[in-house]
Amino acid sequence: MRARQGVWRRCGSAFLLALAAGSMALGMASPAGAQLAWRDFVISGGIATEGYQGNLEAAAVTVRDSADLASAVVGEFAVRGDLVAGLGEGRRARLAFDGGVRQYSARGFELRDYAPREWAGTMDLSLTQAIGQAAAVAGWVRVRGREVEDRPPMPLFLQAGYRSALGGLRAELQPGEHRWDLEVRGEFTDFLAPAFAPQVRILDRRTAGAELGLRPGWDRDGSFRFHVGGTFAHYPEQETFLAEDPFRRDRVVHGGVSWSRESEVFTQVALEARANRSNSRRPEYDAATLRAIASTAVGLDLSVTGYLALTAKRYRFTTDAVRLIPGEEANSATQAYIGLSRGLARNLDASARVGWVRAESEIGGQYFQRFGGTMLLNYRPGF
Amino acid sequence: MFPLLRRMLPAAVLAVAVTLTLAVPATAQVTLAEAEEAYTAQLAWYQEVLRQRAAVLETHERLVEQLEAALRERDQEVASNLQGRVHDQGLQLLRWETVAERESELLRNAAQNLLGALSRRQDELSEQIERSILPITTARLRAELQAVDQRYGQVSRESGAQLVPQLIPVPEIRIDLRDSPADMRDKADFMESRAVLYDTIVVSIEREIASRERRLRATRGADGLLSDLSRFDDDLLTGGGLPRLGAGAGGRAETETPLVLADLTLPEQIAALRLLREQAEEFRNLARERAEAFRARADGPGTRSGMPGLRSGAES
Repeated sequence: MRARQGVWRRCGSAFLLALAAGSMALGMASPAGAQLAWRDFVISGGIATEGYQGNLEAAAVTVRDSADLASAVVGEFAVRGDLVAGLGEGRRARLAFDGGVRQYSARGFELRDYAPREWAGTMDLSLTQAIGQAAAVAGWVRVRGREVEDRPPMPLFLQAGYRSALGGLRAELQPGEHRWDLEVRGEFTDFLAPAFAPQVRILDRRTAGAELGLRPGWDRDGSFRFHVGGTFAHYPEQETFLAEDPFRRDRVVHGGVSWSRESEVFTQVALEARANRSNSRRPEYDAATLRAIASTAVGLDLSVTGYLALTAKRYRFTTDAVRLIPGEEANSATQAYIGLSRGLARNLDASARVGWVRAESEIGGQYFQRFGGTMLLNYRPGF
Repeated sequence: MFPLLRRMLPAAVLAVAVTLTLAVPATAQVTLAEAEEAYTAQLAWYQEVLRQRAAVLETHERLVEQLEAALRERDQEVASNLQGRVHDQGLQLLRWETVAERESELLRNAAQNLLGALSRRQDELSEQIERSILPITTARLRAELQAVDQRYGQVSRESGAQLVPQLIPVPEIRIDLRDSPADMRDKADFMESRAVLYDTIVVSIEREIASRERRLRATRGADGLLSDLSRFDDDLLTGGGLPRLGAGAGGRAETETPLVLADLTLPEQIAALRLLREQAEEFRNLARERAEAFRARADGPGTRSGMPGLRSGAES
């Protein structure tokens, strides 16, 4: 009970407070007569069964278990929404939120059975101002919180809990047929380290970056966007063991292209390359990721959706102590999901999904796997 | 905005059916003649721009082919000369592309003015048909209304200016004490033809709704999966997922007017089309009721040749 209260203090309350603050900000920014419209509001709940394989080391997990295979039954509940307020004179505010909880009942470990619980919540608040017919500027903030109770050892990998705040300014300009966008952003992320696992704090980071994008006005099927950008990242808790430059600082350059097509077959494909350079030799790498999603209605009120992500990665230097953090450093992961969904009633649909993930562990070159199936019900009140 | 419009409103059927009887919100209050003149001139100039662009493009393609041939034959001197010409022609092409884009926007504005003027003329003609006494006048007005309807459809199609549609209400044609049975049957036929037209519109709108619902299911399927992956950071294993629809913290700037159907979200488009379908069904039923009333009166007792200057005015 005490643990759960802690979760609410750390993560849930942060999310709810952020949500309330966002709502208040939206309300304060909305003059009388502003048009508020829900673009989407979804309540989801479901159950999954998953298997995990790969008895590997993990820097951010304090317990080791000799099991190579584990399984879990997972219950999930989530709410997400997207609210837009037209404020007149080309001004628009937007509040989007997405939060949920996943409860695991894990089996197969040698030490004991674990029952990890994940809480996660994100809130986006943005204000966009159109300037004439061909330009707009936007300011945005995002707060995100995450907490994990009873974090298990590998092979059941769960990201560590953290709280983060991001913010940025974005400008869009369409002087002719091409649309340009430029965004500058900053991030502040602190990980929630339990007293007995302070090493999790090595993931704390502060970043600042910029990205320039171009959407060509080509008269072609679908829409392209090219982008290039750079990010500076500082890890105040991660040492380089160099007296003259004691903390890790990275520079990331990234660029890529994405293509999307919204029709009766929705398709989105993105290819991105990134190069990470650091004052520490260990995390220097080059990586490329290809992601694709396609979804279409196939009759009988059914729709099918597939998602694939592939990452290739090459380290610049071979070191004895490659301790990279999954999810934080573009690990070599392959993900594949395919799902079917069907409308049960006007506001209710059910979806079934199977997925497989093969990802690099914190020890470079070693991989763990995750596979399973999920059944979800999605309720859209009023949609 | 134009490619978006083309993508999201592919239904020529709806355009043909709806534009026969639809009006657009009034824009600038220009006369029909002024609007027609401005539109015709702009359309002619736009077509000339397209012709010029096509000619430049043809030359550009021919030069590129010659350049490729020269490169294949390793004729450096010719290739060098052709490279410069290809470059110059490419710049010209770029200029014409810009001009075509600008003129296309001007054409759309001119079309919207003309559609507004045509819509007002449709209203006037409907009122005049209601008030007309002489059959010859009524026939002339109906012929003009038909021509205006056709012109409306033509302008909509050739300019691509398809706005959020609004149905023209059932014309307020009344029973007149002077109407002969033939006049009554004539009015009944007119109302029945309107009812059939509304029927066509209902069918077209249903097709549009079904198409958008399929697209919405596809979009929601993708958005739901990406949301589920990003919610608990499952997508971070590959360095972050695809941007979610309508997401991206800043979101896409929305500078266009929401009057264009394609600029509404899919649920908003479906809701707007459902409302339109309901309205079309109401109008169809009303037109059919009136047609039946006219026919009943034409076939029933009490109908006679009217006396000039007398109208019942109360029945409809």
